[in-house]
Amino acid sequence: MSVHDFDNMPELPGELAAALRADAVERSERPDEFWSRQRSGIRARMHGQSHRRPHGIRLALAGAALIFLAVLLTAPAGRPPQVVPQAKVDADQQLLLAVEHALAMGTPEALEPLTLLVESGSNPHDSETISNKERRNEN
Amino acid sequence: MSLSLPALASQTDEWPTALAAADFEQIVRRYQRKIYRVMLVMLKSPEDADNLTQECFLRAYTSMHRFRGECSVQTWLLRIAVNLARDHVRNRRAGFWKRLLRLEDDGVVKEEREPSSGGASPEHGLLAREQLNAVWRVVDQLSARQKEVFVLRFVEEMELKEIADVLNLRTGTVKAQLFRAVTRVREQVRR
Repeated sequence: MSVHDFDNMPELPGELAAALRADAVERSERPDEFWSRQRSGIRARMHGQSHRRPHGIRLALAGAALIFLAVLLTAPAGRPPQVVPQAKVDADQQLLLAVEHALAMGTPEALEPLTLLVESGSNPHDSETISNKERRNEN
Repeated sequence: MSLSLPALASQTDEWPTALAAADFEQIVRRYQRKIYRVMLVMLKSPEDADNLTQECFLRAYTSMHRFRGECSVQTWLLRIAVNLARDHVRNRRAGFWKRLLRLEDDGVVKEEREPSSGGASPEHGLLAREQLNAVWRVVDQLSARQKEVFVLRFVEEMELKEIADVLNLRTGTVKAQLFRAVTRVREQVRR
């Protein structure tokens, strides 16, 4: 189909065109109450629109709700949260405190010789001195 | 200074820059019949036509700050109306349930389109009602674009340039679409 086919205005027979127009007008005719009610509907929508929240806020709220739902749905349901047993922590804490306390108190009398042995093992010069003392004591 | 919309709209057919709700009501009064008529022919459902006519004016009201006056108020409103009708038809076809509703709507329309007993215009006397209904059926079977062009041309008696403005098409395209639509309708009339 060439452009020249459309050179003339495409028209329907005048009688048919008029009949179609008249038919459409007739079908859309409504009583005055209809148009009045329609205008009231438009006013109501305009009023509702002006009281509605801004579009961006509504979108943000909807997005937040969706994310919340997604987190709820994807979070593992069966596994309970890991809770540290409080009693065990307390016992360990108490033991630690007891050890620190004991160290602060110094060496018990019964363990004095052992302490000397340990000290002499770590310091040869001191051990020599102790040995000499012991020998002197023996003599 | 108070704007007299009826006078303004009839004389200049231009949208004022600052439009009060009361003034907008005058525009609604002036164009609501035309918009409803176009909707009814396009959608064939009185309820949908009423609903979308209201929606059309709401959209016009909420977006009138974007109206720059490049076209007439009528063109602006018809553009919104045609887009709404097109979206509605598209959505109506989208889902199963919506298709079911459409069947119900068609039933309503068939009742609506039964010949009226009285008040026939002289034009109606010239054409048999059956033939007119057959033409409408052909119009309903046209593509969405052809139907829009046909309705604006023969129901609203608009010029090709105006139709092109409403549909955002070139005048040549409108002419081509109209040519195809008229050809199909003529074939029906010849039968």
